[in-house]
Amino acid sequence: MTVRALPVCPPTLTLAPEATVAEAMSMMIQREVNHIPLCEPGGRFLGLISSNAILRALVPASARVEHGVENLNFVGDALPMLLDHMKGNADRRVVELADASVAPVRMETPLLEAALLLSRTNTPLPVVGDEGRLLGMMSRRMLLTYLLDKSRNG
Amino acid sequence: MHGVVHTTSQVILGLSPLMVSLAVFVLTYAVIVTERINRAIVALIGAGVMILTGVLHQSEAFAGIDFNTIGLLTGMMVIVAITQKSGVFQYVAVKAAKLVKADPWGLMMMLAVVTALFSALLDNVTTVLLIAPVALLITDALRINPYPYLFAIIFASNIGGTATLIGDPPNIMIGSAVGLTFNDFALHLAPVALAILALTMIPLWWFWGRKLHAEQDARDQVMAFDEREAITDARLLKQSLAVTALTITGFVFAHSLGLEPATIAMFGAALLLLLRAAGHDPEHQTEQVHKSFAEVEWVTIFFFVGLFVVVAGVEKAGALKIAADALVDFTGGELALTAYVILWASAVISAVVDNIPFVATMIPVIQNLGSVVGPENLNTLWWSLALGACLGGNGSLVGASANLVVAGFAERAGTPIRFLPFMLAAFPLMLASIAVSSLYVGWRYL
Repeated sequence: MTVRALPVCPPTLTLAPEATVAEAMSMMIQREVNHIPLCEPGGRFLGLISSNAILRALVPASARVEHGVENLNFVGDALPMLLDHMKGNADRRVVELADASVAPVRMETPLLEAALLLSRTNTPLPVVGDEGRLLGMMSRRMLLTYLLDKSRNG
Repeated sequence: MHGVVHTTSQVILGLSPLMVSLAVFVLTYAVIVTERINRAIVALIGAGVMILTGVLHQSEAFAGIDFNTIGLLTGMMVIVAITQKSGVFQYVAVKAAKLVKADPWGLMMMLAVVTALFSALLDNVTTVLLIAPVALLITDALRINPYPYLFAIIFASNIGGTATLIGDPPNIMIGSAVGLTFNDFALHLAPVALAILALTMIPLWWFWGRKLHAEQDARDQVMAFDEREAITDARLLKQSLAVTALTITGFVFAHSLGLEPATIAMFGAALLLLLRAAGHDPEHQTEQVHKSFAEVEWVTIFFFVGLFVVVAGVEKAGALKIAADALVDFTGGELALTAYVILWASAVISAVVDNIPFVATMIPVIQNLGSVVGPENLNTLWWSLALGACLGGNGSLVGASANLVVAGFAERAGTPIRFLPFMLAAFPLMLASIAVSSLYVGWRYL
């Protein structure tokens, strides 16, 4: 069984790579999503921007990275700091924050492999076709729906 | 390195032990310098080849390993691995920042002092690993450039490490090989380290300090930090501070009790592990102990083991005696000149290569000089070696492991420290610290 078995359909929501982080944030809020694929005008997949990646850019780098500060309990009310980081990031191109670890799958990718990849990330998987064109997104829920259905109806 | 020579070497193919040992030595060091292969692997391979080619017998190789150095390092690493979990380092750094009302220049001085102090009592890598993230967090809140602070932390850690027996691996090795005590180091090196730290702040102020400015609202934000919240485990904090204090007291009195530093450090580590384990079921204990041991830097430990054997090989074959004679030829055996040559050469060499293999090699070389400069004058040379090797680490980004740790962290956090710009400021500053050391050595010992 491959990814083809799932109802992956063309994405209704994409962003151009030159969109800003602020634009991505407002789109996420308006459309109530946590992930938006970035595509070239021709449809080639460039990366995925997630609300998590934006949040990571807003927390202090000193705590975000390996061997960093382990907790920030002692910082107290750090709203000004977060707003500072907001200011610094709002106009950045969204592609700079795209999650590099998101590797796209293809329609021919075995379902088990896709399940493994999904289990390792917290984003849906982009499904690409020829020349890296984005065909759609494969979500956890899509996979779980399919599996539940199969286990009940054989 | 004080391997007793019991046997004559039976080197394979009847080759000259001197040539074989030198080839292994040079090759080992050359590969270490390239940093293409992990240094612990290189040192262990070199050690193995010394034995396999017949330069050393296994028993001589083992005798060459200074287990006092190994034990002291391992013990301290275990103590630090446990202590750091308490959040005490964040506490001290935040407290220090608030004491100076989050003033940028005051903060730089405070962080330098705190780093130097911790580096004197713990190993430098651990210290910077704990201080650098907090420094970055505070400068982030202050909206100021973190680079001068990271620079100051690197310098302070190497200067602080110079001050004590346990501060920096070269001192541990020298102290252990020569029988110099914790108090000897504190009396002879701490004063000059303190002076150098104070003097170093002047150029730092001139380069950066006088131009640093933070907005009042940013400073208020740092003043709102609550350092008490940084303490994650109060019980652990008490235990680890008690054991650390006990261990350091142990170092002070070790010599008069006829004990070696490794015994003190290892016993301290065992005591802290016991306190941690008390009241937990055996399974949980195993997990805790396993975690603590896993944080020991085994790469460094095995690097030492391999190096000691490699150096024992060249020593037995007579190469280090030849090097010592060459040094005497060059200086005419005159004490002052020998001391200055050792001080300056150690500094420049340690700025570009790892000071651990360098010091491991120099110790037997200097031991051979006793008959020339007089045994009573040998300590002057040890202090010169310690000052040169420890302070030399400040000369470049690769001069000391702590520098690389700060650079690695800064890079991950998106504020990379570049090799050349760092060296342009650091190398002259390091030379200045060696000039101060020269004055000190000249004034006190010559």
